[in-house]
Amino acid sequence: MAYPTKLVIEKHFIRYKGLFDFDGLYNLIVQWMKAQGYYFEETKYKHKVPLPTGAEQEITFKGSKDVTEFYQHNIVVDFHLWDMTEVEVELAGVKKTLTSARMEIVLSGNLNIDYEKRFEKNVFWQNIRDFFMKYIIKEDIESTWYDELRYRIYKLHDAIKQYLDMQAKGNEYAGYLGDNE
Amino acid sequence: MAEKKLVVDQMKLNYEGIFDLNGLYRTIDAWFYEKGYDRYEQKNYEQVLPTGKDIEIELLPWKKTTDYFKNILRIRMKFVNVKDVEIEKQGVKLKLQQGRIMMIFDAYLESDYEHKWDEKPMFFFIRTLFDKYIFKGYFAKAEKWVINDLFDIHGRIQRFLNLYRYEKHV
Repeated sequence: MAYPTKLVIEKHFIRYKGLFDFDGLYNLIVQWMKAQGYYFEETKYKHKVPLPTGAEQEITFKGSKDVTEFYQHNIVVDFHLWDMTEVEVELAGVKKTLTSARMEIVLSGNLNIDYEKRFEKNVFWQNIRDFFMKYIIKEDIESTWYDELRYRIYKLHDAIKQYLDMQAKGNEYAGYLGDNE
Repeated sequence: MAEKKLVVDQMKLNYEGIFDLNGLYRTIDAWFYEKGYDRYEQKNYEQVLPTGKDIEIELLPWKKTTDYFKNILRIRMKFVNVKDVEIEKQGVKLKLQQGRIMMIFDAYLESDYEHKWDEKPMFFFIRTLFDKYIFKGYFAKAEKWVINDLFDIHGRIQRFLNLYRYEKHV
């Protein structure tokens, strides 16, 4: 069996129901991706005709980063919001428009190996790549590049929870990557 | 296919009263970090309701103990009617939570997680034979590791919540 060239990170689900600043959350994710050097794309923006209970939106963000010439990190953030209504609240004397909704955020990602398809030319090179990935750089792929992406996603996961001021927030693995970003 | 054996099935922990929710969450997270588990927080749901917050969390961390065995723990937590309360302890004001906690713990032992013995039917047959009769002792040992880990985190949570507890050994 050939070694896969795309290693998928499991899906992480966050659901929140209540009042929150959706514009702020949107900007937080965009800024986070840009600050981490990801190429940001909004691949889906779907706004459905509002019902009396509120509007429904589906948004997908994708961030990709070429970490080396051989590895590429991809992060996908899917938003799905139901019963969206805008509420005006007064915070410390300042009027602010917040969103009241049910929201689901799905975080996932993948490590794309040989994304430039340099070893896809013919079967010989594909076998060379497979041998290399199976027996020589396996540890490197799984412990360095795949793990880095996993824990990078956890940083975003925690940033979202902090922003929404959820009770179960915090990340004891924050120092795992050895950076403070 | 890698084999996943359910070693501990639905061990429960219930609590009602005052607790530090974020502290509890971080204690569990810190325990996984200390023990070398890879983190996997599958679900984190929070609803703000008039009766308080309802929170549901599912953690599925794993640890590769050898190149053949993998421990998987599953902790499902449900917090109901969580309200913020402020209490004073030795002159210091603390912001804690009040509500109900329900926790369910499961432990799994996954063997041949790298699928090395799945490629051919003959390999699969050999693996089953070896697992059942020759490496039975290793299997039992690996089961003990995962059970011990589960009892350890269970005990840590009991200590955190200041519950009555007893030392659990396998």
